Amino acid sequence: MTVIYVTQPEAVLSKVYEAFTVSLKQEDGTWKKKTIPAQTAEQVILMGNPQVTGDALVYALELGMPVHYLSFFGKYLGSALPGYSRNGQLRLAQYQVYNDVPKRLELVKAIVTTKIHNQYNVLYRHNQRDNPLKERKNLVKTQQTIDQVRGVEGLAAREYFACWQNMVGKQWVFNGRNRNPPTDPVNALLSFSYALLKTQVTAAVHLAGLDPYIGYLHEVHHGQPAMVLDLMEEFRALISDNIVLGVLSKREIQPQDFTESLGAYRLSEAGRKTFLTAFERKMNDEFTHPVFNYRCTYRRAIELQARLLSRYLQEGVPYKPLALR
Amino acid sequence: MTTLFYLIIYDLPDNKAANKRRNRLHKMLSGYGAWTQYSVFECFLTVVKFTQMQIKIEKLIKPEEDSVRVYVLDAGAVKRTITYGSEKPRQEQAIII
Repeated sequence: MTVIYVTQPEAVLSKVYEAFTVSLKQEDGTWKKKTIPAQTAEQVILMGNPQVTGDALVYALELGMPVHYLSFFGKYLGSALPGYSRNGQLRLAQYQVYNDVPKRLELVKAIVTTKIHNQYNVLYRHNQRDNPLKERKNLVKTQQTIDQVRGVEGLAAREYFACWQNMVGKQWVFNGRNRNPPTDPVNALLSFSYALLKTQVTAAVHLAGLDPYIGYLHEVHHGQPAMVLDLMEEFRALISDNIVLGVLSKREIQPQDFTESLGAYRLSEAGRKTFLTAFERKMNDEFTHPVFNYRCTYRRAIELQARLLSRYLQEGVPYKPLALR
Repeated sequence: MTTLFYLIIYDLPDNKAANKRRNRLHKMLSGYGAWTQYSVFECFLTVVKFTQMQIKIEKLIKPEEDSVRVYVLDAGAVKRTITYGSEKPRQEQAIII
């Protein structure tokens, strides 16, 4: 199953019988057409603002294909999602756990512990053994309220990103995580990577039939898909951070791939394509799932976690966030 | 989900009605795989998708005039495929435009 990325602003995605056609505007004003098999596609990700005809959009939804919109910078804007499951019982269970404070705290602790565990592993693999993340991980267990857990998570994140300067090498400057807008290239890459991850998790949450706006770790307030952000936590270090470190250490992306305007950094056309290729490579990497004991790709793992969470909510099957060594 | 490699070859006569059918068949197959030679399509499909396609082919063609052949190959056979002057069949994971 393929994922279609359209990154050119002057492109039109249309439908011709059973296939998609992408028309690209050439310098001389003519259009170059390319046929893409729609039946074997799994997702469409649009970046910048390519045009999509109504026909193509409806056909994508009919085939059960989510269409995700990202800004030119890679910020997640939204998605058009197919109908999927309308599992009312599951949502009721989801709301019940939200009001059940001890159960919710237990779940939040599991998510944060795994997040810190995965962050520690990233550092460990890159020879940054001297860090306090292990203690932070143990500290989570003793916390009494969700706010305290959030505090520990924040501390761990700051300590984690403090080690990044050593990992990214001398040709990059990284003084901690910042966003809106990212003020250095590494932060720009991280934001891009997280936005791509968010598209995948959003699709998984909808696939499982969960309500994206009710989460446990993230505050439920207007317009924040808390459940998506909750599920994302265990994958941030595991997937996104590893991809960024990977492309930097292999020197697939160079400082000259970025342009700066008003203090915000953006990636060039070629750099973006390189990064998307790396992202896809990672999403299709296989590993043995620690709970189910079979080989699966990272893309499948995200969906499995969403399904596992819904099993936990409805049937009490223990929820184990994904932690890899 | 596992996919198999389906090689679809068609030969339709040259008259007005058949030309129309050929055109329609071509457009339909473009939705399922890559057009590699004039009357050849190569598709990596799951069983469900293949069945859908098979139904569409059967509805479209006239067996007494037209000839459509479908070869089903597994991963090992695809790996041993030899090509000259063009690329070997490969399942695309991402299409980046």
